[in-house]
Amino acid sequence: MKIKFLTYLLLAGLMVSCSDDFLETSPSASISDDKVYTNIEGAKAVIDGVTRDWRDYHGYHDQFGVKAIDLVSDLMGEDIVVGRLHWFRYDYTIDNREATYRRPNYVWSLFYRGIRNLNEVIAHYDEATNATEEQKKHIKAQALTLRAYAYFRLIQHFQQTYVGHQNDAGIPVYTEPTNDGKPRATVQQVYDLITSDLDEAITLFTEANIDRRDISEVDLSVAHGIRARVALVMNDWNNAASHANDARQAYSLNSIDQYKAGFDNKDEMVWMWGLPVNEEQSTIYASFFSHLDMTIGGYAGLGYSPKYLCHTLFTQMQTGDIRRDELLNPTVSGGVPVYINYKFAAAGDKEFNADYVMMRPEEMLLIAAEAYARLGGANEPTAQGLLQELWNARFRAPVPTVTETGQALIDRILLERRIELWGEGFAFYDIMRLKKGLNRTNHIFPAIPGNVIPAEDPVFIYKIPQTEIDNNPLIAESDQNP
Amino acid sequence: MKKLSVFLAGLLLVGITLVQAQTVRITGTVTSSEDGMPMPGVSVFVKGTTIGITTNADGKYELNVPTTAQTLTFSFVGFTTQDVAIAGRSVIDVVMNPESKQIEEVVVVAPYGTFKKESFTGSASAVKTEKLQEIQVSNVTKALEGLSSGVQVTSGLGQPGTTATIRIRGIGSINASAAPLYVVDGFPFSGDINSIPAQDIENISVLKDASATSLYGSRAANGIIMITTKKGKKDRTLFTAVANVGISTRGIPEYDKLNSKEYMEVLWQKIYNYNLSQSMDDATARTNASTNLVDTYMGGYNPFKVPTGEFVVGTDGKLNPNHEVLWSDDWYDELHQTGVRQDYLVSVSGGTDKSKYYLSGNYLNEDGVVQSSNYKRYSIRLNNEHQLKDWFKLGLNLGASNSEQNYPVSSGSAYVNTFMWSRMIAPIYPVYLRDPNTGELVLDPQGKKQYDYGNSFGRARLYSSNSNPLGTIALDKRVYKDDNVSARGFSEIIFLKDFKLQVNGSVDYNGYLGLTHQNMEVGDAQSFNGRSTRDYGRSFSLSANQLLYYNKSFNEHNIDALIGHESYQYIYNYLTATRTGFPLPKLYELDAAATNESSGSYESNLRLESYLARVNYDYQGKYYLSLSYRTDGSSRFHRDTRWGKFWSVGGSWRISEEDFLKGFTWLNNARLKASYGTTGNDQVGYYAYQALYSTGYPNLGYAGFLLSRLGTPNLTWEKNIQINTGIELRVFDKIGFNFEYYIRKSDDLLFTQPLPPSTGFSGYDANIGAVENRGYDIELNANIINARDFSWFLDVNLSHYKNEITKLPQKEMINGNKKWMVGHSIYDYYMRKFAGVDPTDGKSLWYMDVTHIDPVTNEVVVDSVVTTDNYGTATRYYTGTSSIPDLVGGVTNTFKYKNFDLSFLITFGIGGQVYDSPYASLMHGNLTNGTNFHRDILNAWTPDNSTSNIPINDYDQNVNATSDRFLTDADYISFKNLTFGYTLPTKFLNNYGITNARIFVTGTNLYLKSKRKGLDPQQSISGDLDNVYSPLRTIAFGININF
Repeated sequence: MKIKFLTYLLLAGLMVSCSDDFLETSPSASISDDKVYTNIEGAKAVIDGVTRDWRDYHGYHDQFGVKAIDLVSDLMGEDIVVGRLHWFRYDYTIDNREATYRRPNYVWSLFYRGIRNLNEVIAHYDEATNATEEQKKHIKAQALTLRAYAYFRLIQHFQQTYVGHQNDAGIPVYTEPTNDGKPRATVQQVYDLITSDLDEAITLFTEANIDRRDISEVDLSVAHGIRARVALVMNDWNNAASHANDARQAYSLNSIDQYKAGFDNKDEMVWMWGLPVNEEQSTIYASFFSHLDMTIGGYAGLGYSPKYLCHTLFTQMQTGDIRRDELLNPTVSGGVPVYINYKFAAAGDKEFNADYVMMRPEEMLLIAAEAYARLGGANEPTAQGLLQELWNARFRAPVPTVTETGQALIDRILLERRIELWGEGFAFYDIMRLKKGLNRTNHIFPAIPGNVIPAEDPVFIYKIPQTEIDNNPLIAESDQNP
Repeated sequence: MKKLSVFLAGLLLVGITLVQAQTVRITGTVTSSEDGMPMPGVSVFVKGTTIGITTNADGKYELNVPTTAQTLTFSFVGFTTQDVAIAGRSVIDVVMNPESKQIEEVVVVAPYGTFKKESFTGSASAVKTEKLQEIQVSNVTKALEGLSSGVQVTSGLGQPGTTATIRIRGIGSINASAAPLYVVDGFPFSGDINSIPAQDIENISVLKDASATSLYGSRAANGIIMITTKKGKKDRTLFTAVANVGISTRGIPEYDKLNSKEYMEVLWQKIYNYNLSQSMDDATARTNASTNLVDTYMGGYNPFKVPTGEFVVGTDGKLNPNHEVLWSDDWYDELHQTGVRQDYLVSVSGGTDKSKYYLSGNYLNEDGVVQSSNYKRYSIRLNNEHQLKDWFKLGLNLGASNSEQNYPVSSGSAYVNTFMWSRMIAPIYPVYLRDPNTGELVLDPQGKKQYDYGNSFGRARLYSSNSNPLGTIALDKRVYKDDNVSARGFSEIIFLKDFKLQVNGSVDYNGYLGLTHQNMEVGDAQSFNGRSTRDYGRSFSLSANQLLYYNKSFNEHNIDALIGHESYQYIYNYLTATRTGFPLPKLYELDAAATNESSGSYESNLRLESYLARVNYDYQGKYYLSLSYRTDGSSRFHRDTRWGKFWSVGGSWRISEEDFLKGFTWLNNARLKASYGTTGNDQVGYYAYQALYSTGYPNLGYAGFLLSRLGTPNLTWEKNIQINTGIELRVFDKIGFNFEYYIRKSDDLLFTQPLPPSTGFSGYDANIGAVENRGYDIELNANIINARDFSWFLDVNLSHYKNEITKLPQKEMINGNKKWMVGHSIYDYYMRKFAGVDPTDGKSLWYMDVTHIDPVTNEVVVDSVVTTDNYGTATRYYTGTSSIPDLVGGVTNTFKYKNFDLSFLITFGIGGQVYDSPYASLMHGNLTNGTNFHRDILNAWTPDNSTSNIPINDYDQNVNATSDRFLTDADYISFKNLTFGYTLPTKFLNNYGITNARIFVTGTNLYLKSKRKGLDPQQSISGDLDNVYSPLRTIAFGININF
């Protein structure tokens, strides 16, 4: 019995002792930060995480990443008519800029969240023990390109355009991960970072010389493309033209059939950068196509908030243009003539899983054309030729001939941007950089500040989110936008 | 030790041999005072010896006793032990009296031991399990209301199988959990509390202060509910069968709403008033209202037929008297049902000196009042205990259950929430497809009724067109299957006389499998051809402890000490998958669906290692001191902050044992007690210190991470410091009284420390808040009448607390209709204040501050308070009220007359307010949402009724916007339970071999009186009301048989 008793005590004793790491646990669906960057795949996964976040759903049906903000850009312009006010109504009525409103907070947090993660990558990508120098450069180049993209989107919403506002307060600039808030940098400082990030990315992409994995990755062409967009805003015509040319080098223009493919499937069109979507990752009702595509049963298609092409733009389109003759369906809403635009048509193809276009060669062509037209002189025929090249791909015979010169040529190219890029998120940014203000005609519902708003009016730019002012000791109430 | 027992046995034998020489024989019969029947199995012993016997089946005994013997002791479980002087008699008949429940020694089940109540320095309430078992709910947590002081219970949803929200002594946390810890048979329980039938429960103790709880350290801050399941009793084989069968209806009535006629007249009035506000002249306004009423404002649906060419509602605003009713479908009746509840339990228990067992099986099947709402449970329990050696004991308690819950959506704003739908939809809309001209049902080719989806005959129902919950509910599925296995193993050895070592282990397993199916024919998933989600959650916990006890008494000093070690691990796995695209209706499983929509899984791990110690000391049974200490190491926290120390000191003084009070014989017991100590709340997330990247951001097929959480190496548990003082009295053998006052300070509360969002994060978790609860608990019990045939017991408990925030990360934080600020409670309302109705035009008025900014201090200065009819510019204020009641309590009366018994439980709350949002929704100012109105709208302001406090009935979206107009006093009184029983006469039963049998009828949630009909003030702790599943009123018949 003594033995049994001792055995019992021994058993009891065994159960008492726990090994040292008994209390060390780690989560299964998350990875602790010290493990992420041990491999280059970890850094790449963070870039993919940011890419996904930029097309993910964030709690409201009008918050689904960068394409939601692209839609905001078009809705703040002149060429989309909203048939019924629903989601995005305050964006459309130019009444969504206050410091506590969701929209400024969303734009701010979406891009700054991306910047934080990209800064982590930039700070840690070098720790990977299993990567070549080329692979590391390739990762850093992607992170820099995306960071520049994020700052470029932010600065255009939180301050007036670059030209004439270089010394105005911009947005805080972070180049490394930190929890300490930074003050508003000047617009010039923000653009300095954007251009230097992109220039470095272009160098790194060239040096790395690694083909991209898939179309959701930014690459040398995309870096050039963003650089061209930035140069256009900075009125830096030479850089705009040269980067745009470099960007579209490897790409042909979309043919008529490709243009009519519905903009929902990367495999059916020529895109330079796109965010493909699958069934599992679709945000369904809270998606770009739900809100803009009239052919699937989303908010637009079901009639909660139909979106039309504006009659004012229609009247400026030429006959023979397939974008006018073959994609528009005239109707009347609220007593106003409007046009259902089948440019975005996912029905019968990717439906709610439609892919998102982020950049395509026609935009690059138009940037180059505009830049050459503005440079004028010997560059004017180049500009005309570029526009003619696009028309050749958009008109059934007979294709009209580009004859305009000077300001008329510039205006024609700008009009062409509105026609070709309708719904792709450029309207607001063009209004801002061109300082032309807003002038809506043939709309159903009025904008709150009025249908005519002068250029550089404060209503165009968002206020800095209140939570930023409340919690950032370096940004005071007095630093707020008017 | 073996030798010792042989020696002892030998001594006994010698003793018996010795006395056999000089004995006398005593005989007699033992009967029960209850019914005068003979009692078998009663122990009869010569006092102070081991000489004894038990009575036979006829209650008779025969015993040879030494001539020196003076006294015989008669004892039987449940009856008062009697010492009877022999006084030379040879026949001694005895009548045994049942122990009065009230003076039965109350045992407190505390962490790592049980205590007599008078020796326990901590604060504990023992719940009356008899009453608990009479309350017809499937989950014991819902039955706790009103049965213990210091406990606030809100019943939440009426869906069978749902759990109540319980708060012990106030709200101890803001962002982490404030729910108590459940301990079942000695180990924290991580299964589903639903799995334990009330009839298997022997004892529930609610532990409230640090002296009672600090031995559970980092998990004990919100109090502990200790549950002990039943055990077998020695020498008493008992077979019990309990059957309850009843029906359930809605426990809270519907709000008072308008019928079709009133609805249309009110709507007419609204249009008319709106027209006037649009500068229409009176006559045009009237004609316009009558003309457009049906087509524009009722979506074309009109339940009244009037002669052609006449208005349905005339220009006088009255329904055309020449009307014929086409339909009057009642949505509530069609969507709801009377539920049937069946609850059966059989158990066998018994034992010998060596082994005891309790075995039970339970089947419960409870329908809710919503169609297809149901809860079904099978459970078994086997508790057994074996004394293998006189120094070695082993035991195992095993409980297992399987349940299935069908739970249609019954909260929130989804249209399939039948409580919302039937409450809100205007009464004019038909449930079934009906001919608009005749009101006749339009049947399908099979002759069945068809549902009206709000779009029939070219009309468009203004309330949720294209849907009908009846159609959807029948086709959708929301099922939850749940398996629980819970095992507790015990072993105990006694050695070196004063020592006892226990090695115990526990396993809790819970697996649930959920199915959510949205059908392909109608509703949200129609355009996806149906959608099904399967989710599976599995929790598994393993715990072991080693406890060494030491117990010693010398010279009136008693010491009882404990040291121990405990480890705990918990693993939770979750798996979910969703598919869409079913080929045919009535298919639910993922295999049948074509398209993957989403899937995922994760695992969470928690580990805890602890060392603990306790010393209880008392002197002369007068002065008690208790010291507890526990240190917990938790995997939730960083290595450097992982170990926390928790301790308590408690003392009590049984003043009634002092000589100067001995003379007061009416004073049975008087005790003062006090305790002070600390506990923790570790419910702050599983990996609360690590900087984490979430892996949930794949980009198509490529892994995607996103920084989801900033590292917080300093994060630690929330801490509680508790002070408890109390007085306990018992007088005249009748009345017991217990009063306790407490202060509970919760510090280091988890909050988000905000960051500038430009850093990429809105904040990180930090221990930065503090809140304080102060209050008192009162318990009173009285044995008012205790005559032979009639008795009356009364139990009353009362609880009060005040909650106050004492530290916050920001000056103020607005949380919905509350605002958090230091000095206020976490449930203090903050909203616009209604200033009544403008008597000149009937518009709502709200208060507004007129302010300016002081140029020197740069602060806002209030110049005056005015009223405004512009909701947007009105100021938000603290209303001075909160959702916390001033006093909650329960009163139980139990009467017994001969074989009849009657008991009832009344619970009540005084003070506090709720925000009655269902009522606000029914007082809307909308013209075109097809929503019904509360009858109060009939008293709306008109020029003739200009003193009304109900604003004018016109088109005004802000008329029911959040303001204190809809804050309603939460006072209530609830007739929680009434039970009437009859115990069948034993004489009659003995013919059938039955020991005793009782039949009873019991009603639960019989009546609730609140400020407004339809209002359930107990729905939520925060006072925010929703259109939710009403608690069930259940009336059941039952029988309880023992043999």
